[in-house]
Amino acid sequence: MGMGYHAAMLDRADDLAKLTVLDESGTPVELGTFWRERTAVLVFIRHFG
Amino acid sequence: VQLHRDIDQLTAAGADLILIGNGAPHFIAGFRELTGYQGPIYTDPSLATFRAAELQRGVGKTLDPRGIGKGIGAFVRGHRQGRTQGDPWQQGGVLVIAPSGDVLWHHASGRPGDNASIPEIVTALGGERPAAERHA
Repeated sequence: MGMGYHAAMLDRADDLAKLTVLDESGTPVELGTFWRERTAVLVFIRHFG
Repeated sequence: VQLHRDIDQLTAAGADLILIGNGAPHFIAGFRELTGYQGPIYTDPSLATFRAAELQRGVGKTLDPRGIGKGIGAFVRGHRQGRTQGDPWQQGGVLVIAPSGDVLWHHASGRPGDNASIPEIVTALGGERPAAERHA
């Protein structure tokens, strides 16, 4: 553990918040909506393509 | 599946787990079938969010087009790649983001098998670390 930890790497998610991802039907969803109410754990996965 | 326990722990710590992949949207259904995961899952074939999340160092190698093709082929055949017997949860990285917009925790996976552990994430959320820490 700890090898990938970068405390100073990214402090704020302001830029990320404006980006969109696609749901299963291909509809864009703004990333910032995920942490508007509750803390979000975003797990970026390499798989399914 | 360990993941279900992990999700329960994160929820108890006051957070929502959201998966973001990078394949075509129609791959999501197959991923759900493969893993049994019912929670929120999205995809970003453009990889813009992966870059903005500063995971490029971690995912750069595996996102080589040849690597992607290999991954898809393996996925379709049901043979999952990776050191951990093809863990479909192999991460490009994890970000924990508070409603304030502060990034509480950031983990960029450097190689297959280098995944953030749930106990680490729960600790970042200010939750209790499980007594028996285990490897993700």
